[in-house]
Formats: sequence, C-alpha cells, structure tokens
Amino acid sequence: MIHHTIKPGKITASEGSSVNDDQIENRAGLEMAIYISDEWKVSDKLNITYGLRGSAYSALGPGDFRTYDQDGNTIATRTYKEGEIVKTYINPEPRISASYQLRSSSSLKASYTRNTQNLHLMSNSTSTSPTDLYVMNSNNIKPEIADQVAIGYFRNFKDDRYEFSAEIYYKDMSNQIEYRSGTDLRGNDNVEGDLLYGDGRAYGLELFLKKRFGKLSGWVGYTLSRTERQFTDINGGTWFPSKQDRTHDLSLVGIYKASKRWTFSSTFVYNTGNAVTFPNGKYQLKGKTVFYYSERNADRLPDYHRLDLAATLEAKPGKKLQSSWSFGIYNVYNRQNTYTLDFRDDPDDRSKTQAVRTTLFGIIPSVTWNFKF
Amino acid sequence: MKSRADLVTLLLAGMFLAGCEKVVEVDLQDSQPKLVIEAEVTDQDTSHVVRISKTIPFTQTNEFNGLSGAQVVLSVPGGQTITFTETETGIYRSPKFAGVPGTNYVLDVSVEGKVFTASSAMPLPVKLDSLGFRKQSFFGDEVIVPLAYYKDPKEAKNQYLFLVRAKDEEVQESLTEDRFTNGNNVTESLFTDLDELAEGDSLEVEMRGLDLNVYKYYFAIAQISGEGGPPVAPSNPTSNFTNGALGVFSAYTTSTLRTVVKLK
Repeated sequence: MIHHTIKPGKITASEGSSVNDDQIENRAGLEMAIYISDEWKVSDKLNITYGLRGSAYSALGPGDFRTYDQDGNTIATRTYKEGEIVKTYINPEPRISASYQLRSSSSLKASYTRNTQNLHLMSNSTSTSPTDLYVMNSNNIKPEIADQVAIGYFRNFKDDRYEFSAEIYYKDMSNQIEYRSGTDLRGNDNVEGDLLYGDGRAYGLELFLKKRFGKLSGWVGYTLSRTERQFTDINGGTWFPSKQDRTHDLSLVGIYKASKRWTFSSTFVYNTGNAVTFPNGKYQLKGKTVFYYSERNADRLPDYHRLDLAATLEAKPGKKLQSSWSFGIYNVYNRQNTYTLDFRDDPDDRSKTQAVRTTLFGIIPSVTWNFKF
Repeated sequence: MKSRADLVTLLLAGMFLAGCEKVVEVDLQDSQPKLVIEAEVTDQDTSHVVRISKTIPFTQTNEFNGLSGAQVVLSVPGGQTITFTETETGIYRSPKFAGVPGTNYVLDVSVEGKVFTASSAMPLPVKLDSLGFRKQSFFGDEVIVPLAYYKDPKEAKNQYLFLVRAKDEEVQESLTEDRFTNGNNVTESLFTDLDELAEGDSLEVEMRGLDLNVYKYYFAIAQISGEGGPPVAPSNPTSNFTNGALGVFSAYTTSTLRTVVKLK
C-alpha cells in the first residue's frame, strides 16, 4: 500500500513584486496491490507459471476536481475534503507464462501479462526538462492498461557455444495520454483540461544470436518493430507512429582476445530515426514566418548509426595492483547523428527558411586506466 | 515573442544544445495551399485591415501570397454590418471607424465557395501609464531594459501583447497575461533582442489588450516555434476561424507611448 502526494508547483513572489503568490493544488492518492502466483509442473517438458495481481487506486481529496468538455473548458468543479475519495479504480492483472522443452537444447516459451499504471509522467519534449509533470489517476485520468502476448523459440548450438532466440510480441494499450497542442505548462493548475486520451499498440520480432566462448565472441541482436498511437483529436483519428517508434534496431558486439594481454572489441549500433513532425508549408503572420503542419509524426529523423572500437591492454599478471589501459574511439567514422532538427528563417537571408540539424557528439577518442586492488 | 520566464528557460535549453549545428537539406512534403486569414479590429478611429493569403511551400522565398476576390463582412450585435474592400491583392480595408471595447465582433469571410467565420470580444481598455528603463547584467554584458508601467484591472482576466519599436524599427514582441499579476500595479520588463539600446535612442512601446482566444493562439505560435523551451509536439495553433482556416481574428485595444532612452 502506497500513499502518493504530488506537489505540482508553487509561486513565491517577493515583497513589492508585481507578481502574486500562488500555489497549484497538491494531489494525493492511495495505491494498493495484492499478488498471488503458482508454478505448475505439468509434465517433464511443460512448466506453467500463473498469477493474478489485483491493483486498486483511489484518487483522494482535498482539492478541486474539475470536469471538462471536449475543448478543455471547465464545465463543473467539485471540492473534496481531506481524505475524501474522488474515484477508485480496481484492475485485475492476470499473467501466465509457459515453457515447453522441445529437445535437450531447445525450448518454446509463451506468455501473457496485463499491467496497469497509476502514476504518469507527462513529458513535453525529447529530453527531461523542468516542465516534466507527474500526474496520478483522477476523475478524468484513467489508469493506463497494457496487455502483452509473447512467443519465443530458444536454442543452443554446438554444445552451448552458440545461443539463439527468436521472439515475437504484441502489446495492446489503452488510456494513453498526450498533451493538446499549444499547452501552457508554466504554473498551470488546469493541466487536466489540456490532456487527450487514446489507444496504443506495439508489435515486433526480436532476433538474438550469441557466441559465448572462444577467441572471438560476441553477439548480434536485431529487432523489427512498430509502436503506434491513435487519438481522436490527432491526425483525424488514424494510427500514427509514436515518437520513439524504431522500425529497425540492430546491435553488433564483437570481442577478440588476441593474446594474454590484448583484447580488441567493437560495437556497432543502427536504428531508424524517431518519428517527428516536419512543416508542410509556411505563411506570414504579423510579418513573421509561421510553419504549417499537416500530420503529426509523419516524418523521420535520419537513421542513427555508430561504430565504436576499443583495445584493452592488461598489465602483466602477478603484480599487487591489477590494472589495464583501454584505448577507444567512440563514433569512429564521425557520423553526425541528428539530435534535433529545427526549422527557421535563414539568418543571412530573411526571405528564405532552412532546416538546421544539431549533433551532440562526433568522433571522440578516449584513454582509460582501470585498476583494482 | 519572448516573455520574462521564457527567456531563462530558453537560455538553459540553449546551453544544453551547444553541440554542432549544420544547415541540412530535408525532403519535405508540401501540402495543398491552405487559406490564411489575419484580421484585426482595434479601438482606434482608423481603417482596419484583413489580410487573406495562402500557404506556400517551405522552399519558396518568404512572401505574402495574397488571395483576391473574397467577401469580407464584419458584424456587430444589433445587426449593423461593415464591408471591407480589397485595396491591394489580398489586403482588404474597412472604412474609418473606431471599434468599441466590450463588443463581440463577428467576421465572415467568403472565398472560393466557402465561408469562414470568427468572433472576437474586444476587451475593456487598459492604458500604459508610463515607461522607464533599468540596467541589467546579462552574462557579463550590461544591457538597458525598457520597462512598461500599468495597472491590471482586477475584475477581468487580461492578456496583453507588447510591441517594442526602437530606433524606428520593430525589435520585440512580448506576450503576457495577468494570471500572476491580477489587480496589481505591474512593471513589465521588455527584454529585446537589441544588442545596444543606448541613452538617447528613441523607443516606442505599444500595449495591446487581447481577448483570451487570441492570446492562446499567439501563445501556441510562440510555443511551436520553440521559444521558451522545447515545444509540445509541433502542430497548428487553434484558430478562431471555422472551417479549417489558418490565422486569427483579433479585436483588441491599443495604447502607445513614445520616449527617449534615459537612465535616472
């Protein structure tokens, strides 16, 4: 059982300032959960684990709780006393997983779980910022619910030298939350009027191969996936990719033990760029350029990829202080990965607009000395 | 447009994005041209202007893509109507009249077989009392910051747009509202982009009282352009026009003061 209190914000002004003191109402809630599970060995080859989690959440007073119309305007406000229950949500969360041994070196696994989430982090940008906001369930905000099914095939080769797995999954989500466009997040005590609710879904295939022993070892992982959202007020209610949707995600790690003291390693990552919203036109308003957007998340940032190389030299063994030197190059071919892409008037020629890419890191060499004693 | 609190957030965001910047070519899908209506009615006894245009592709040179042949009619409660006539391509003017504060104006624009309607309530006027100046240290540089003094009425929810013109050129717009200052004597710091505002320079400050929907529209525009920190996902601001027109209709009051920069 957990009691949550959230203090969204407070404004303190000094004497004589033209700003008034203000405080956004705190919010309180009570979260409770119970869980039972059982493991059932059906046969030599089949194992099933199943369980049920019961989750209950109550939004509590004191405070003013509002009801809104479709456009976010307040239509009713009700004041609750301290500890008075505003709304209670009860959600059963069943889960079941099974594993079936096919042969001595391979198996099949399947699972289904349902999860609910009562505390939500509302992020307004690609990175954390002071305007990130925690909200709890309320008379307007419902718990986020996700149902996931997954099936996987696992197999070891050549006396367990190689490990291979292939998994597919499908996840169905409801009560997803997004901000209405143009929401003012500074000292806003009415954020709930600016929230939109919708559905989500995600599905994909994950492949993984690992070489566990030998001079050359390492692994490769590849995921093909899609994660999308659907909101009535966004993109006319069609399914659109979520910002973090990554069609391809590839990682390759190789480690080569050249001698007793030298080890070389390399890492290569590749993923499809984030889904973003680019302008589809522009117009002049009060003498300034304003961009026109027709669809949210219909575009992609350029793909992200990077190669890192490293060489590690272990000190001669037997000394009291075990140490090693690592020489590495991060982003060996200096790929300028896009961190953000902004559109603006050309500062040298105000009659033209341009796209500006910001990159965080280029090629970075590094030297590290590790020691243990 | 910048407001006080936004400036600090913007500086913080700027420090984080100190990585490399490069102008790049991006493949953008150009949409069908969309209708844009920029309309205003003020409390000054003058001819009021409605600008009607269409959006242009991103790669085109910035220009006003005016649209001719629209019917523009302003209605007042009580039935009186005023027609705007086209004087240049896309620019429609009314005969001279002064808008009346407290009136809910309705504008109808008929063009290309469709009708777009917007309404805006002109707020009661708030006058600029006086202007002042102070010195402020900004990352080692000393800048002169213009100040605007006014009294915010307690009974109403007020929204203001400040336009600052220095040395005969518009240098800054600043959007603010009375959520934190309702009913007080307010000192508004008007930070400008201008590097050197020196003593003796001429300065003009215009304070416009906006209706709430217009304020929200301008606020959304500033947010989407990334001012005041990373924006909530870019999308089009909610226009007060029906039928999918871009732009806004604003009935506002205005108060202007002119002065010369001098520190006490």
